[in-house]
Amino acid sequence: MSENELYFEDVELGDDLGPVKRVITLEQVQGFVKLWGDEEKPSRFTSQQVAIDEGLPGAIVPGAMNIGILAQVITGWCANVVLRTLDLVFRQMVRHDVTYYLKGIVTDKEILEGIPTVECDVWMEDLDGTRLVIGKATVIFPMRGSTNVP
Amino acid sequence: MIAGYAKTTGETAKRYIGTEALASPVLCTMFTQGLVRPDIKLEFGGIGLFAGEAIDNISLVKVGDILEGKTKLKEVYVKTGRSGKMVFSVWETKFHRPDGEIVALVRESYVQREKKS
Repeated sequence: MSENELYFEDVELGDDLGPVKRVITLEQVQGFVKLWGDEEKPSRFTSQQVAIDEGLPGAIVPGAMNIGILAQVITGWCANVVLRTLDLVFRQMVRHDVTYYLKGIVTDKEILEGIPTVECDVWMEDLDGTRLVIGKATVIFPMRGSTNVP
Repeated sequence: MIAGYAKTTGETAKRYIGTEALASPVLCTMFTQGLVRPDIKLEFGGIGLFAGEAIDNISLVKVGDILEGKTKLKEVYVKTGRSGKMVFSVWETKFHRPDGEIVALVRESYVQREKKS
């Protein structure tokens, strides 16, 4: 994670984001599920058996948790980036205790209605390079010399 | 809530951790998880899975903020792929402050796949 600052002028098409290495544990998932108040009974997120009984290959990471994790490839890019939109598609299930990489690439940059805007593709992939979660992010950067803080 | 979210998702960016932290820009996606939605009588396929989610952030969320959310069914549609027919239902939740200022829009998409015989 970088606490450096970047400006719109510093960002170029094709710039890579990440990779950020992540292994999501059962304890993390239990903590996350507890936050939304659903920790009472075992679920596909917290129990291998319940997940298998539901026809899944094993306990999975909640989609909302994947969003919070994949967003970090943006929020960890630099200290002054603002995540405006994030739109994700879940193509495959994300499992516990598996090594994943969060990655991204800058696909476009332009000033839209006076706002310095950068578009990125982002994804979560496994060690084989299979993309399990894919999506697009729109982020805003300040411009050098501008007093406007996004 | 903000600290717990940062901890469980492994957030390390300084602005999102600590007692004076901002909320992660995707925090509102978690609030929709505990919602009980009306039964739309969708009788198709087997287990429903989370297919996707999108968030539009309109303003920052800080410690002590009070948010309200309203959810509506945005659309239901059918797609046919290699594995057969799939039915998607999309729900949209608008989060706002008590004074009406909109904070975020969250769209969740769920899919139900055709049952294999």
